[in-house]
Amino acid sequence: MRNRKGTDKILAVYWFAILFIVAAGIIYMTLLVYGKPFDVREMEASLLADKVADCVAYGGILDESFLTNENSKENLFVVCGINSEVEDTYGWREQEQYYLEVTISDFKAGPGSIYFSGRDGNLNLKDDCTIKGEGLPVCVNRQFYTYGEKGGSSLVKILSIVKKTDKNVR
Amino acid sequence: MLDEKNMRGQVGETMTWMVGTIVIIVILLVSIFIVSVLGGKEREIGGEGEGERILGKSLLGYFGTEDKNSGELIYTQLEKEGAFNPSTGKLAQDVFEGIYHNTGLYSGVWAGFFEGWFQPYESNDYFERRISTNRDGKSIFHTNLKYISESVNINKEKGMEVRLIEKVK
Repeated sequence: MRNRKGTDKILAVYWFAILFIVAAGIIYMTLLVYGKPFDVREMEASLLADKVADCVAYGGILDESFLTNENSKENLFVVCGINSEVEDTYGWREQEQYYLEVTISDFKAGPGSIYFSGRDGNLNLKDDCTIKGEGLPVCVNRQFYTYGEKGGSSLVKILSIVKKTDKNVR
Repeated sequence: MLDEKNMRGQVGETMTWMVGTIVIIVILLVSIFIVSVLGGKEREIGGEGEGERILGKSLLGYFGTEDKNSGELIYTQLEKEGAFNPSTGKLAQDVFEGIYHNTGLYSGVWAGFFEGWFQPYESNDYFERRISTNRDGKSIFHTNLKYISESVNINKEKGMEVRLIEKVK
């Protein structure tokens, strides 16, 4: 009888040990799945590119007022009504996290015949698009065909870059 | 005699627990391995079908282009004829093949017409062959084939569709 009680005590310790091992395993697995952040930068860069595309050409027709606006060349965010404000974390306010570039060329003459070029944001991010690896900004390239009101078809190329590596990549 | 039986019973119980523990630990390790393989990847959101809006812009631009020979919009010609003519077909080739095939993101480009949503696509002389995927995105030949497409009704009977097949990663 006394012996039986001793065995029960040992088994109880064993039981708790297994409970902790299983619990630790479940916690570890949960951390494996949910521990890494969601990287939404590609979607953000795509949305930026879409917004700029709407600003350059609406309904497939090139917006002449975009071309004639002097601010289009250096202040794309303002001209296209995009808010480039970022959260006040990781020193993002001091270093811009976005870069936008638009080039418009004559469609028939080829991509070399650029007649409009505009940009805004942190130009340093552009160099990172040529490098492959982890912890780098996300670069999204978009291009589309458009037709001008004054005649002539154009090829619009948009480069949209989002850095924000500190929060999206670990 | 009684003590010996008791002892055997205790040894049997302990053995059961030891084997049980080993089984539990093995199951746990296998689960952790499966989770680390399947769930430990970087989770990126976005990337699928995001070029659709831009493709739509190109299609609208194409429709809005004025044909220098006839002085009519491409859309007006397509609406009347319901098919490519040498002028509209060549421009469609230049626009859709020229822009999207050269990006390196797409393995195939097709543009053409269909009569009614459930009717087969019509073949044309300007785009090699219809990309072999159904409208629901499931491929006949490649299960992983994904595409983005944009379609517009050009008249009461017909619609035009442009389809870009994404490269298999």
